[in-house]
Amino acid sequence: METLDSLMLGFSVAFRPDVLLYAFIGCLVGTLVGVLPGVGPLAGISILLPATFGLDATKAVVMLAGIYYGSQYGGSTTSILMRIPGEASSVMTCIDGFAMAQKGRAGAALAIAAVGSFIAGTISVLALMLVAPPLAAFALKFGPPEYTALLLLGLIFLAYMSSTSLPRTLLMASIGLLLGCIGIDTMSGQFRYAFDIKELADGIGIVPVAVGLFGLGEILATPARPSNAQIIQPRFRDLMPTRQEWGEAAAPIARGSVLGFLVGIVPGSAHIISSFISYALEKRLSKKPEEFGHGAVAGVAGPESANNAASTGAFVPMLALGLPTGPVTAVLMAALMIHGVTPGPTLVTDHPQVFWGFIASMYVGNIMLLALNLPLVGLFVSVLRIPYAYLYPVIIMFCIIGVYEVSHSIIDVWIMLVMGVVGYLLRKCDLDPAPLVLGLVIAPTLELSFRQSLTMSSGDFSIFLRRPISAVLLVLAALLLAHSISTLLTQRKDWRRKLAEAEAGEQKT
Amino acid sequence: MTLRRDHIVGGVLIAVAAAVFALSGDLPAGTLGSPGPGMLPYISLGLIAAFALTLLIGARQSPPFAATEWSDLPHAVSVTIAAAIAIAVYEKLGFVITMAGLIFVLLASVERLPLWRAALYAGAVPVGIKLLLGTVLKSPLPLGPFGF
Repeated sequence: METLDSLMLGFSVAFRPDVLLYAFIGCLVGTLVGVLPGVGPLAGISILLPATFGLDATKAVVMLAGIYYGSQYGGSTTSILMRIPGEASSVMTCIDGFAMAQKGRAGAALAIAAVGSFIAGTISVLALMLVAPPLAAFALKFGPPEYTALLLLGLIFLAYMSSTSLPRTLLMASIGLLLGCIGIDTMSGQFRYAFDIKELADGIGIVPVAVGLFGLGEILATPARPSNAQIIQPRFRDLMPTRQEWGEAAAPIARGSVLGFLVGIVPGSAHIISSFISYALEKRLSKKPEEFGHGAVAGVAGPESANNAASTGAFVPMLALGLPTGPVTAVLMAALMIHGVTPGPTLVTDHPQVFWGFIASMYVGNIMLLALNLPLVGLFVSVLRIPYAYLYPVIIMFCIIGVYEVSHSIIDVWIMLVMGVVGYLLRKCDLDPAPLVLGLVIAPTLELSFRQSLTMSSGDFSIFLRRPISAVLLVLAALLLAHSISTLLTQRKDWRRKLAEAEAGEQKT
Repeated sequence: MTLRRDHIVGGVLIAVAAAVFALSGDLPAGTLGSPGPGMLPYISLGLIAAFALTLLIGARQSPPFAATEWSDLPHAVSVTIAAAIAIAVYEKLGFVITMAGLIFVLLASVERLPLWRAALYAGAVPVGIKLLLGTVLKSPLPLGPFGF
């Protein structure tokens, strides 16, 4: 009953015309970000972050989250019509979505992807609403040792789930931790690696690093070659799937929703991983597995539902624990903190309007996205006809504006440029920049809780094992680490290696 | 011996970790009971060096460095130089002039598009964005010597 009352409060916020407007802008921009190859949700969110400075926290997070889950909807459009994943999580949709399009069922594939995304999005918002508040209440019992253990588990989980190798992921996370140490030490007031540059006193911001690595880095690695990919343009009347297609889509949508939400909660690129797992699951459960790769409806319905549910599931640890599960939630957390709202266990009680307004806006946002994606598919497809040579200078311009407007610091823009070059080089060396951003985000909290824990115990490390919650979290981290190391040493091909190979193979085609 | 990609990655990162460690001279690590501001940086540097060493040791499994595809490098260098110049003059020349110049250079010089088309696009986009951000979203952008 209390949850329902809170949700009503949320809807009273979400239905305000100004909040509705910003949810719509977020969903529209998110769909465009998803449609355009080379512009991910992280770059979209980072670039539009400064535009939220004049807004209150609720409107800001509603708009930015709309970009995130909107991009999952938009990513399916290019996958189905051009066999180009607009977003990494849409890679699996390319296979059967494009095959359906070649059979003249492009409209049906788009409709199934959109409706599946809508159902999964709505189910996972419901789950988020039920799971996050009790988890937040439980997290109020956390002290510094528990937070240290939780953040370590988050990093290890990220490394475990990563499609690159364990040392590569942890290497990048360690670099992120080091970058997070730049600036004034909050406990002693001492400057660290600031080299007398006063702008570095507050440390390196998440936005310049994220925009540089993911926005500019992507542009540097993508030369503007003329695209000769053929775009299939479906007619509006072809959008309705047949009764048989609906029947084939129903169970995969339901399974994808549950699976995606559960995978979304754990750190890592959950929305990408969930679509791969969902595709494999549907193929295994199918009575006609031979149809996969040749236009199987379940091959579109399952992964598309899973990636949407996962993007919502990722909000659970962010809102309830203050733990970002990936770079996108890290930037969303930064956005909330810029507006004076700290995500974590006290968010539900201290800022109920933000928390419940955000949840309610996601119900509304999912309806908006359904309404946007089906009738306006032709419009979004026409965006793809703009040559990349015209798009990328504008994206660079937005990168510069976006970073500069955060604190009107040109040093931040230089950091962004350096990070862009670093991001380009990291891609050449097969190093994933996402753990670096995560390390940068958690560094201040990890350092503070680690040092407080050691001070509390007079340097006795057993404090982490004497407290039951932190002991359980550390044991879990140790098990994951041991499993990853054993796989690495025996060169065994487990599901993660197969997933990485499938992803790499599909992206080459 | 074939020089492989992870030889370069591991070697460079070990060197970077050593250089940062050398720069951290006066940063106190503290004691276990009273950790200082240097503790996490030193732990991070140790981890970077350790994981970089792991890559170096297992470098045999990575592709040869010579096989790395660099055909996009000239484009990346051109874009980086153009962006660097734009950043250097951004606060002096203001948003409209800087961005018009950046877009024009990228379209005309890097992408070799017709000059009139590049000029038209480079003139229209920053003005439109200035109106959108400055007027609708009330987000102040740097002004140039001519007041725009």
